[in-house]
Amino acid sequence: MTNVLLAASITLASGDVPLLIEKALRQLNCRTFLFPLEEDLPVLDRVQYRNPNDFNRSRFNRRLLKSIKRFQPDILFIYGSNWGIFPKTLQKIKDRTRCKVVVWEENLYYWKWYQCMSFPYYDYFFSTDSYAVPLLSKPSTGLKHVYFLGQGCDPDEHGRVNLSEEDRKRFGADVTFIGGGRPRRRRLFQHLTGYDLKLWGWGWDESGILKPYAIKETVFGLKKTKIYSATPICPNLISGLYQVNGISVRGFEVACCGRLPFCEPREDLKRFFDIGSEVVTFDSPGDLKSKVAYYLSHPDEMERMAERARQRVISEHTYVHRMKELLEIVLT
Amino acid sequence: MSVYLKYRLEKSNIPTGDIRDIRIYAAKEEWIFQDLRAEVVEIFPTANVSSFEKMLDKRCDLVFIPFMSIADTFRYKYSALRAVLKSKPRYIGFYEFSKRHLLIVKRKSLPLFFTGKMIEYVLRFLLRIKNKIPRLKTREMRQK
Repeated sequence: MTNVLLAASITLASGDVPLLIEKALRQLNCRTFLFPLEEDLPVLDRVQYRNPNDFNRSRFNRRLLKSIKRFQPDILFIYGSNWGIFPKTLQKIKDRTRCKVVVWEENLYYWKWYQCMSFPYYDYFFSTDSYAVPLLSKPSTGLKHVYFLGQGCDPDEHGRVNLSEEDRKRFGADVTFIGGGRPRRRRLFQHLTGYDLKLWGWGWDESGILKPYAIKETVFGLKKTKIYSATPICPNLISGLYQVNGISVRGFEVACCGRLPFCEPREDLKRFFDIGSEVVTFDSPGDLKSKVAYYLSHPDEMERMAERARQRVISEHTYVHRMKELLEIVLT
Repeated sequence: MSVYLKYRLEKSNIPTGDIRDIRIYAAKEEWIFQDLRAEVVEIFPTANVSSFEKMLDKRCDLVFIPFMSIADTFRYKYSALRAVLKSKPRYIGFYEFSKRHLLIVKRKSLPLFFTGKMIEYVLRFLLRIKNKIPRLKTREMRQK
């Protein structure tokens, strides 16, 4: 049995991914210990965490060392980004234990402050964007092993749900988007106002045109699954400035809920889906508008493609698959 | 489906089998109650789930108070805390406080909750004061 200490941030924005990863690791017979990077911290740590500097994060780092001493993990698995573990702490971990330090970088903020200074202490580095892999593999970075590992989903969490009439009324629409109303996204959705459009999240009302479609509610867990299940079209528009080839979890989650993913044409999309038969791509607002019109008038075709995407995701792109791949690389 | 809520309940060592009567604090905005209720019903399908607005009027096994974070402002923090205070102390106890601002109240002891929170608020307040004190830009001053 492999002991894994999972250090991750369980914030609202994380979409519960760390909890789903922990669940997947347990399914693969790993003994897990979740070390939250932000939530569930003791009072003093929580106060200090808001003001990141050497002094404030030192208590947090000491607590991590204590947890590692107590739990004796084989793998220290940092998911998301290394938000608070200093290079000197990682060095101590390397000196005192045989624990392998593995990072699955999702936010792609690795060049900042101590995060890039920690590179020499990472045994394995997994990036959700394939563009970063050749860049980080260069000897000058200090990283030993760099791999690409895409995002995933959990069929239990993002499965199909039975919707009541009330749910259909509340969540149903032609086109839905869940996320912050960033300028790029606002520009795109301004072209879709002719449809029954629902935009969940904050920032959408900054655009006068989109204000009537904005729903200022927090979305996570069961509600997210219900929204995806109630809406035929949920476009995936990535906000991350640093994502070049990668795609976000949204595409996988939408597909897992039995809906056809509409994604931007990114390089990594080809690795996960068969474009044209399992996923629809769009390269401009006009293109998206015409494809939305086409697929809304051809629901059977959309249903068939969505089912293919769902089968693909369940058979290849769950967190269990991702963790299996990761453990195979790390443990062999 | 509700992996987060399950995690919170696990963390607070709440046995799901014993829970029969659950109360959820009804926040000002209906959707907060609706969303939490849907998740609670999924985890406790046989339990009686109802809402309370001002205070708990009868004995129950578990109380949920959503401290929903909306665009980084915690609108319901104080109204929810007031609801906890007004409710009969013997029903209130150890708490689980999370970034998602869900407060799960069990029937144990009250003081831990308020002691912990008070320490946190005082420290935050002191740090805020410290950050507001303008630093002397000595090098710039000397140059002038």
